[in-house]
Amino acid sequence: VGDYQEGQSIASPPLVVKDKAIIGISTAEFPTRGFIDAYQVDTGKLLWRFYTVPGPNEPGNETWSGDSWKAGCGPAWVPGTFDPELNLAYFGTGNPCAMWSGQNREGDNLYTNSILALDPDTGRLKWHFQSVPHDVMDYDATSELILVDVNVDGRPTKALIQAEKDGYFYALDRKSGRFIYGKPFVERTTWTKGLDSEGRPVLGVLPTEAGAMVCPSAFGAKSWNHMAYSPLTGYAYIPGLDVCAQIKTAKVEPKKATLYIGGEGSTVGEGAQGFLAAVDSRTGDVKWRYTTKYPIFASVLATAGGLLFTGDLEGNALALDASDGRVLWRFQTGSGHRGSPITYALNGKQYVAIPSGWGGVTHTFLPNPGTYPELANATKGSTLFVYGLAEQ
Amino acid sequence: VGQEIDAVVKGRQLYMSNGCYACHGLEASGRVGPNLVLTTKTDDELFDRISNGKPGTAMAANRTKMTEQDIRAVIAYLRSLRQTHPGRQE
Repeated sequence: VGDYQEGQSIASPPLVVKDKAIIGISTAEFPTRGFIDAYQVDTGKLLWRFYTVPGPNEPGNETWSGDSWKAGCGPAWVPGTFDPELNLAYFGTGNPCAMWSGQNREGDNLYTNSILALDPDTGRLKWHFQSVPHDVMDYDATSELILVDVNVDGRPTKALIQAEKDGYFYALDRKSGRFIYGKPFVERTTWTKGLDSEGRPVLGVLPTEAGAMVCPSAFGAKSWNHMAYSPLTGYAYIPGLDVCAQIKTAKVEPKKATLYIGGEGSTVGEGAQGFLAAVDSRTGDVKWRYTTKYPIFASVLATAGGLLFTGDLEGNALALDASDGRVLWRFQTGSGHRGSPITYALNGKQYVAIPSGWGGVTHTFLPNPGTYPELANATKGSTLFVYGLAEQ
Repeated sequence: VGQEIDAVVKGRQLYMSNGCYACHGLEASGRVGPNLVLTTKTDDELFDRISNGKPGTAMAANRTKMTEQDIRAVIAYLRSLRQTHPGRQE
């Protein structure tokens, strides 16, 4: 799919639509140009490619100064979502490069930090929504895209919801891309003073060469672990973190296969905490919040029985009441949670499987001296726990 | 002295252009990667680490991207930081 010598890699599985496997690449802050490919599932033949950063003479290329588009990144490193009725494939794209320095790439930098609706048959762009134009915080817009039907102004609307790293919960009309609302689901957001009627942010505190404290940090207010949606309540359940960072920018030039970050950042311990937030998909309002000492980096499972399952970094597997966030059950596994719970039935008995273990950013970045130094010595297991519901 | 200053200036440029700052910080005081100002490694040990990397970590081998002279310049730059680092130990 990609060339690792150009800094391209695959971070997630493809979205299969009819006879096509559609997959985006990760650029991981290497100076390359993001794209989404469609391959014939039975032959592997490349059928179309959509560049997430437009080239010369393509709409959107004017949002990149000079030839900065060549190293623009815009990775689509999380799987997409398909609506068979509208025949649209949705993907979120990540940050532009350099990650923290925008000096080389003046402009909005389309289609980075965007939600894209593609025609899966042709790869043609049907609409886009850019949540963070000219991102210099590494916010991405790659979080999972969940398709829900909500009432907007009394009318049923086919919507798409996303909780982004930038700390806002967005709802769009998934047919047209029209912005419905965007509201913060984390308590501290300093990068913006709010969104205008089209969803474009009014800028607040941004990183500088001298350094500035920006909230959320580059971890985002939510990591890649997915939220859950329950049609019983109409709520989305977001595993999150409220962590700020001190960020300094530095102008650098792109160099092949060399990290193109353009600054440095350190998370700040003051006020840092994790949470599980319930957001009403009809309004974007936070209905309840369960807070934790450390970020919640595990995915969330919502069940038809009105329960939520997830796990915290202190080792607790958790079950909560989906309606009000009360903790109904916990089990200490001995290691923090980073994975995704599932549930299944076998011979009439219902099971919940929750992996316990660390990985990714949890052990690489969190134990820094200013934030959670004690996590450097945390137990890092790697165990799958399967819990069975009591027999009736 | 002039040549040493040239090496330090060049070393700083190479430190930035080769992305060393991305893990070790803009002033090499450590981020994801270790603090290179207060390192106890000798020049030869640093040369080996920059050239060959550290398998199993994000520290890549740079011998195909940088000349021996370039690596020596980066080391000269790192040594120059020790003179002004607040954590300097006599």
